[in-house]
Amino acid sequence: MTASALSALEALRQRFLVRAQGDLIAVQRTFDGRGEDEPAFRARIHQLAGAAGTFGFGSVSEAAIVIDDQLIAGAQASAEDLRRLIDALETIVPSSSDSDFTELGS
Amino acid sequence: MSKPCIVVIDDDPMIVALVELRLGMAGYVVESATGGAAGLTLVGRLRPALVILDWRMPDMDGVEVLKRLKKDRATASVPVMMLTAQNRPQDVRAALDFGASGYMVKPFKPDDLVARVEKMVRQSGVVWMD
Repeated sequence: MTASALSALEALRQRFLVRAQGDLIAVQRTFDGRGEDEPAFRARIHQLAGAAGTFGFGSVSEAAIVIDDQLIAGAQASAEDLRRLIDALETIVPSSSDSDFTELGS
Repeated sequence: MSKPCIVVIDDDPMIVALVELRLGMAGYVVESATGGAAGLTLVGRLRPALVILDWRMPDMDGVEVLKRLKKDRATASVPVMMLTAQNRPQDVRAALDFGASGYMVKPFKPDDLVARVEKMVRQSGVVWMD
């Protein structure tokens, strides 16, 4: 793989991490009971489940897949599983309270 | 001369960007759409060697796109590989029943995607023109 290709892949990975910061904020808000509407949250979790592992963050995908399966089945995400996803996201991005991050659109 | 064209239809721009980049590195011409309806139009116009299709999309889900592609004589022969986080066995069965030629579950390894695409393009009989 050429250096420019590696650089392009790394740039994409960094873009994913920027988006993951927004995901972390959204999941934290849902955990706190003040989250976005359900269709938006479902779409976010589904994208996270598919994309995170693809970009090398398997633990985030694993946690998101558990919630995605619950939502597909028509259930609510459990607090325990939301907490697990938050913990996984916090290992790859800075906590929202630790940064002045402005959420970017996906 | 042109190499096989692949169309990727996925509402996640990060996945689209990654697939475009990785398949582009492998020598494919990649066109993309971030919605089902736009994807249908693109496939009809380009008649690609392969369509890589997400399942869950807000405007038209991937299975509906698949059904329409297979119903249209102009696009019925274009092979379609589902690339989706839908991982239940019944989802896989349904997609294959509706005419998908392949199924790959997200998350995926980009190298595995390239290998799968190469195999499907070979099987489809598309000739590489270097």
